[in-house]
Amino acid sequence: MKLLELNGLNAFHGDLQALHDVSFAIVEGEVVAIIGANGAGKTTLMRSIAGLLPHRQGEIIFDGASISGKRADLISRQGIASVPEGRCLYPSLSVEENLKMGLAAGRRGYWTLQTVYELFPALKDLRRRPATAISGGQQQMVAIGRALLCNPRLLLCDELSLGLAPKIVAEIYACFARIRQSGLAILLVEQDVTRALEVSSMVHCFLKGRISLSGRGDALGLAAISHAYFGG
Amino acid sequence: MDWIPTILNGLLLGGLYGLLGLGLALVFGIMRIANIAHGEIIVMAAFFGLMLQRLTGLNPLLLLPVVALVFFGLGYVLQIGLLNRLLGEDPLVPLLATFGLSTMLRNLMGQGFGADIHRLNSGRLPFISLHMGFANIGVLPLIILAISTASFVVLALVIGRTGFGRMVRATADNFHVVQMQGVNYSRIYALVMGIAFALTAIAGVLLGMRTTFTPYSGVEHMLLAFEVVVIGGLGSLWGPLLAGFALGVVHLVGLRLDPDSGLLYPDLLFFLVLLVRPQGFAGLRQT
Repeated sequence: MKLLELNGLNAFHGDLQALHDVSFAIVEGEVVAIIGANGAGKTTLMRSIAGLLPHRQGEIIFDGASISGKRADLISRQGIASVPEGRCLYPSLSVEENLKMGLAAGRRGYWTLQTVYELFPALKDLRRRPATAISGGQQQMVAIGRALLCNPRLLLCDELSLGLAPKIVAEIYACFARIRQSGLAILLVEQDVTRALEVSSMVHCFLKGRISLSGRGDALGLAAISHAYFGG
Repeated sequence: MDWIPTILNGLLLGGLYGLLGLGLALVFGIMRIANIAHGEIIVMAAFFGLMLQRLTGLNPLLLLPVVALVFFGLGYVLQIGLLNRLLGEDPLVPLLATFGLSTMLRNLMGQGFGADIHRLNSGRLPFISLHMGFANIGVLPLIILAISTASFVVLALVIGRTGFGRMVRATADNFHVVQMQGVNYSRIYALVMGIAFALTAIAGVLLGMRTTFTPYSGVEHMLLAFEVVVIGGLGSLWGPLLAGFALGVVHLVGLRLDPDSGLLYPDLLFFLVLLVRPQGFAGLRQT
């Protein structure tokens, strides 16, 4: 069953069109990756789905009903949670308080403070620390945990690996299997193409605001991806 | 030492000064809105207390819950109906709106109540004092200090310890991101403005019991409130109380040395703090 469906989405930053006629769907429990160069419209796409950026044309359908034009807080209460680009933790809040913000969405389910601490044991000892007084990788774990505590049906992850050492990135992606077991679908933006192909069942490559290539990760050749990624 | 009563009375007065700034500190620290109408809200609350008192004949202290509740509603409606629509990149827009509001409220009160000097009648309460070994301490100022301190403590607990307070602090950090956790930041802003108005109204009634007011006295109270917030440190909810104490003591000591000085010495303290420690006593955020 389709969980999320985008139909002919056009989004703008002022007069500049950032997304052209974007259409694709995500099935429940599926992992879909978005790849593409800087400025290809990946973050714009995430912000549009989360309701933080209005789109002038097209429609976003979540769980059978349109969420186009809906307020962002209502969309997240409906079951779309975000791990935003650059993590965006709250510096005035402790690690645990940051996690607890996920509970504000009012959705109860598999993810609780306890299951998040089981997923990221390192956070438990750091829970009283200010969220900015921990390492980048740990901050990313807090951002993921905060989104999981919303108990979403769809998790949007924007550049999890941004600014992190490869070893840390591998650790974070290693948790994906456990996260997927809770049954949620994931839409992730990833600069690292190999990583994106590895974790996802479907890849969409963006080029200048349009989908330039779509397919199952194992079916796409690197030459085709390179062409779709850089254009020309 | 005959300076001890002066200093004690300064501290008692300072408790009220701190409370005058608390609502402003909350709004300024969290929403970055400089509410220019803050002084008019103080005076309006005093007039509202006056009207209620004429109606009921009760001691103003007993009217505090009603005044606070009504002003909570006013703040909530003002934020939802007007200020939330003006929030954006430019902080000047809501500032100008509250400037317009202050002019409007001042003149409305002028129309309604005239330029006469008013005072909230609290019966014999202002004349009762406790005889301590070294000084006579008024009971009313003591009650005011207790209410002020209690307001600071309750607000600090609500903001620091409750789930609602966590949402308020998160919204202050980043109102875009809280939406991703299902928080309606407009509603948080409205609740915060409501709380700020309630605290400001309590301060206004207490002020009206201690001193006189006219529809036009809002400006000096607003200046004092801004001094309290800036000296206390932006973003701090304890700083304003300390700043109030400092301003109160400086005010009374100054008046004693120089009876015609008015608010000169508190203003000089403000100037000095800006020179020496512009982030204020407890200012953490350097934004």
